[in-house]
Amino acid sequence: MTKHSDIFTPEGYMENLQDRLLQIPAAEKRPGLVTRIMPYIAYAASLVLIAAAGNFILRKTAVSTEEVSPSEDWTYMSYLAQSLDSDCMLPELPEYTLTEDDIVNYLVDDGLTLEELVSYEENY
Amino acid sequence: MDTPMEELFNKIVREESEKLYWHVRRMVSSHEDADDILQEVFIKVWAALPSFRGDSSMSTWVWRIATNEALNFLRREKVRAALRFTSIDAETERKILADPYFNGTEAERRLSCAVARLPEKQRQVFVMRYWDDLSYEEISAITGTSVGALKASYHLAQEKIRLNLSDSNVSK
Repeated sequence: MTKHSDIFTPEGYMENLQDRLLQIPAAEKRPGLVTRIMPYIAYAASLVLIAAAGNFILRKTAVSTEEVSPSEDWTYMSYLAQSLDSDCMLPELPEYTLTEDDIVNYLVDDGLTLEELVSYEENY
Repeated sequence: MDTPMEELFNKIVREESEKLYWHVRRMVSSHEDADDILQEVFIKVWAALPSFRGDSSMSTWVWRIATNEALNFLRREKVRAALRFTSIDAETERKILADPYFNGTEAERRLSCAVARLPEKQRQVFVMRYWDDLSYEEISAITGTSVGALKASYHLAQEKIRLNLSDSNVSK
């Protein structure tokens, strides 16, 4: 009496199991050497390509400080200043219309004297 | 026309597959899991066949692959159970109780549950010695453990099973 009498398998399982296992060599046909090392070759090639592309881009874009002429430097600074001045750099403020009272208050608070104001009106 | 390698593989399948099925089935306590593991085992055997150096017998080598595969499965199951915050013993017991391919007595079912609770090394030795009828020398060749250590493990396993069965008798 077998020691495995308490457990069993589905009908015909053992024969089916052997048939399935015998199919493994056909299903897992060993690939040739080139096929087996192809992923490694592809990986190495892609690394070389990335390194070459990176090197090319760096060489094309890198500019040493000596190569920058004062005029180029000035052009850049002007451009930067322009950008900083542009509306897009300012935070959006709520629309507000100045009233005469606002102007008066501002001038008074700023310490403008009556004489200065009269003199301004006379000259302009 | 089969190549010599394929002929060797076919011979291994014919001679070992059934014995290995029962071994793996006892280790993992489920027909479906044993079936999946056995398929994996023979795929590995086929892949590693060209590198087989003949340091041990072919049968020992194949058994080593199978028993390692079963142990790896048990480890993965243990991790899965831990991630679900469940007990692996309870999971295995549930599997044994629900096994549709079991027709033994209640005592045999309790024995299977007690073996499933053993630590993996003791479980491996117990299954190989008690159910697979392997000698200590054969188990030693497969597991790489000394015969003395195997005897100690088997003795410990027997003690634990005895204790477990007497506990379950008391609680019945």
